[in-house]
Amino acid sequence: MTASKLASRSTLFTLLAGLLLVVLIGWRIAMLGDYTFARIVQDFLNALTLGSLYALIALGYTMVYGIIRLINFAHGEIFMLGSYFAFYAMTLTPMHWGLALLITVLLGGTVLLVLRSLFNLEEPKRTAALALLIFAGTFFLLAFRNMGWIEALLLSMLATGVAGVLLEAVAYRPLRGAPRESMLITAIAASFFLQNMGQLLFGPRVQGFNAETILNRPLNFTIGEETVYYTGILIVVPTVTAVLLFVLNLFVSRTKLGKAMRATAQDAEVAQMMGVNVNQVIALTFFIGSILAAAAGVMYAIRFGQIHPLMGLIPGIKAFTAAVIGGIGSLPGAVLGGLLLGFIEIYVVSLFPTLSAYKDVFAFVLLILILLFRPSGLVGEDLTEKV
Amino acid sequence: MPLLELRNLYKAFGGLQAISNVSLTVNEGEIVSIIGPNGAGKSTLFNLITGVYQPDRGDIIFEGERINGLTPDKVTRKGIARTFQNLRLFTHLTVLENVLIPQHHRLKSGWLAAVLRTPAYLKEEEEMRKMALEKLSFFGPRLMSFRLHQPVYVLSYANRRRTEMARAMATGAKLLLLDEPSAGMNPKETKEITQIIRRFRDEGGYTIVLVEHKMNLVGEISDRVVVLDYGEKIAEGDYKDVVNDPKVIEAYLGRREE
Amino acid sequence: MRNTLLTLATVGLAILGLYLLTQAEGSSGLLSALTLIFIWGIAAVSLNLINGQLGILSLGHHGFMLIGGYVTALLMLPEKERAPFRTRLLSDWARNHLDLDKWLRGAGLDFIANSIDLKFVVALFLAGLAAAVVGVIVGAPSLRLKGDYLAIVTFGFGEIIRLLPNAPEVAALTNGPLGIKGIPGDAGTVWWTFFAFLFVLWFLTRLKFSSYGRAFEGIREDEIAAEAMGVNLAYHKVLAFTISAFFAGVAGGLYASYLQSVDTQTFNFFVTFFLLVAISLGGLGSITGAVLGTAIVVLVRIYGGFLEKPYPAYVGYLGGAVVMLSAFAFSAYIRKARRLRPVVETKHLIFGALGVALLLVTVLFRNEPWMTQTVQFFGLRKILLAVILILIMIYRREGIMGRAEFSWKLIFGPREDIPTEEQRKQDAWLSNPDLNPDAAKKEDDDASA
Repeated sequence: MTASKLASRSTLFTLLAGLLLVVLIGWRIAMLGDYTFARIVQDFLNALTLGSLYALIALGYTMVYGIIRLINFAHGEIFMLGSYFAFYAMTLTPMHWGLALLITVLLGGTVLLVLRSLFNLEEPKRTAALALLIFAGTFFLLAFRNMGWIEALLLSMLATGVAGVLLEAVAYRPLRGAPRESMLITAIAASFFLQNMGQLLFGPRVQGFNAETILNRPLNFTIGEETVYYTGILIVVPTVTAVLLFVLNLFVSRTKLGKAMRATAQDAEVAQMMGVNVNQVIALTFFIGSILAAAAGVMYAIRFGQIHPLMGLIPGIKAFTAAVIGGIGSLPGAVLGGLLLGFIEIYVVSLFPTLSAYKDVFAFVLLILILLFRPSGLVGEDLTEKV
Repeated sequence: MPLLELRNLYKAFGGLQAISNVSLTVNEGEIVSIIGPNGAGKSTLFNLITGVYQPDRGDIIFEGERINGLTPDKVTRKGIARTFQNLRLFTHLTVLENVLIPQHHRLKSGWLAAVLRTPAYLKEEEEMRKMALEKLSFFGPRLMSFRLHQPVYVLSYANRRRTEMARAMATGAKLLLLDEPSAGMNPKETKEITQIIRRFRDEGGYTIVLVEHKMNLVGEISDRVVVLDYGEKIAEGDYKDVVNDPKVIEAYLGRREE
Repeated sequence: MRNTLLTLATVGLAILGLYLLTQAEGSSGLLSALTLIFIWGIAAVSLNLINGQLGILSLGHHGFMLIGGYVTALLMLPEKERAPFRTRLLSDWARNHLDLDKWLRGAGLDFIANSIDLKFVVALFLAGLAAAVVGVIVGAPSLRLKGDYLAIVTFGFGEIIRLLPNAPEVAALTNGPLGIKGIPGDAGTVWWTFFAFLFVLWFLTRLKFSSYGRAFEGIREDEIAAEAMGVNLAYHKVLAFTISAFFAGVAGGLYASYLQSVDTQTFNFFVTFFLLVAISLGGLGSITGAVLGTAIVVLVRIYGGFLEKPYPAYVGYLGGAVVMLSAFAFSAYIRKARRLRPVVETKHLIFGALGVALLLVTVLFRNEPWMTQTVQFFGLRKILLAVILILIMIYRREGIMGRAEFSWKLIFGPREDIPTEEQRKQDAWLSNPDLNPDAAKKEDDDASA
């Protein structure tokens, strides 16, 4: 069977599946007497939030896979680290200036060392300014401010980005060129390592995350006779996500580094021959992916009010499923997949409450089906592996 | 009835027409060589015959039976075996294991019988070993004795090629498709391989189709030569006739500026 | 003949040793450890069949073990444990119908029903069968997918199987998250597991050194070549999964008997990870390696408990410092030995810096209250296992044994792959023109051609 025939067959399958879904939903809405407009709106808002969170995490998976063909099993743990870093940022600050200095040096130092290409030595003034900003800002926040959620978010993003870069350097880089199964096994090991390190350092119990009251103050409104439960976080998440996506898109399509990333994703060897520092690009990819996951982690923590060291497992799998649905390796695919998964999850539970126990099973089933019948996802190119 | 018959085969990859209206007949006991410039579609033809690709149009008929659409393992079981241009040995397995695996499909005992080592299974193992040694003996004592138990990756290149050919024979096939059997061999080894291929046919009863670039080899053993260029058959016949055919010369060397 | 005698002698010695151990005082800890080595050993060699011999990364093994565990539990649950107050969610149907006793007596096989050991044999066999059936389903995608995508699909299956017993509809059979308690522990003793382990080793070794085992390894080496040599990929891949799943189910049943209870947390993804470390450490593709690796990993798990006892906090900081600095030293040494450049990379410097920092912190703040309070490092053993796996992947992917197996030939000979003096001379003679007149003649021919 030719490649094009296979592609159109899986497209047909996808369209049929989509049609089936729509019919199912329509029928179900008709059957449920009490599915009011208010509930539609409620579910929509929840789904948008959840979907945005999945999208942010999925982007990390898809970017890393696109560039080194690795399924970063440990990405869920990066997400978890983001939440915890923000938590400690908010609860431990202001801290002793010595400790603040130590952390600043370690963080800033690692960023400088590993992301040298971000700091272009040809423009010393800009480099120095950027470095100074990062160092001074970090130190100031750590030593003198009782951090609020926005500052914690930013700092957590930086710290988690560094963590992601370290993960790549220590665990994945030595396996560059190894068979993919070996890299996957290493990723799994890294995932377990981080989970248990988290339990060791942060304590195994669930930790309450006391978000800013401003975000959790109810902004309920009514439609008809029903209240739609609404808090600030339901605005913040989609907004922050949209901003991050916009910046990411700008970076990837307009800057030189972004172009280098796209080139490396297409063909790392040739990119290297064209003068791209592939190591730096890969480190940068992990950095960006981790930043996004951290943002998701912080917002997830605010939304659901608690964090624990194993919180990355299930969202990680779901985000990975989302990335595969959208088409692994494709950035818009990851966003599409994330939103889609969020909507499916919320609406299925809302429309079929008896199925809520099967929520997680459903995610795995979807993952298997997609990998078997449409591995390229919705947006990705058809990459049925040629023998 | 010819052993192998290709009727009007077509195969395209995307926009590239790799094989275009190729027809060929191979009779039992013949040695047919397929030559042509690089990219002419010779390996593609082998892939079509062995089931790695399916033809877009046309038929492949082996022993009177249409074998389009069969998977490679089924094609092998029908009686067609091949070697690979770039060698695809089971690198970390021993020479003996490499020559035993192709016989596996003829095993009548099931896996449980194998585990339990029933007498029937043990007899079959014994026969497989005998056949393995028989096929390897085509190459003299080289691959017997201690080399049998050495992993293939310690072998020299020429020995690896020989192992690959022994492997193809061990499948129990009637028709051997040899893809550049003398690639990477020096003149002495090439000469040896030429004799061996002839012995395959004379003593082993195999029918052989080979793809080759070395014209002296082709000239020495071929009953017939087929020339492919850009996926089309442009000449067929005796070596001497084909080699002097102006179309063939043009394919290889280009046309002489007048 | 000699090899068989040697093997039988070793087995005899092992049985003797085991017997003496059971009679010895205070050996219960060691016996417990051995039991676990046997149980996990069965699971590991069965996983090795797919991951090592067939060459397909499968991450769903815990699912097969779970099925085996639950089936064994349901079949062997004695009458009194089926009473409503114990197994609340277990449905009446399950309580009344999933009773092996009833089946056997109904079929007139009273002698089996009366012997708990024989009953267990039947139960374990059925457990393995159930797992094998699922193995066919999990193995099917291997016909279509390869590499890491396939691994993720097997992982998905494993997790689905793990989540199912909690689902409301299925809980009627499985008692939901409460699990099933009160399973008879007869099959979880050291003798049972020992003989089961021996049987599995015998079976899988026989399989490996048969034509089918060779077919599996051919698929691992080069799937396309294997197919071209007549090996039916679909059949053999599914066969490997089925057999592997069968024995995983048996191991799951044995473990259920050992613990005398099962629930959905007994067989989670950590189990697969644990087995993965075991076979990677031992050597992917080697049965001997799988056993060795399992032994090491189980011993770490059981005897590593001292790591997780309460210690004053500064021990943690000091320990961290030691680990970081030795990691730095180790990687510098390895890179020097393997002639890698640069000898010290940025990340190694970070390790070193962190090590020094931790050391300084320990020394400077030795007497601060937050240094002397007691802490416990839970999960350190799991961390250790994860680190071991990462180190293996980076520095010695083939593990301890690689693909080699233990064989009496290695100790007592003969070594068939090393040429004797005689054979070497013959081999040299073949290609050396000074010695071989035929070779010389051929060269002359070529020179004049």
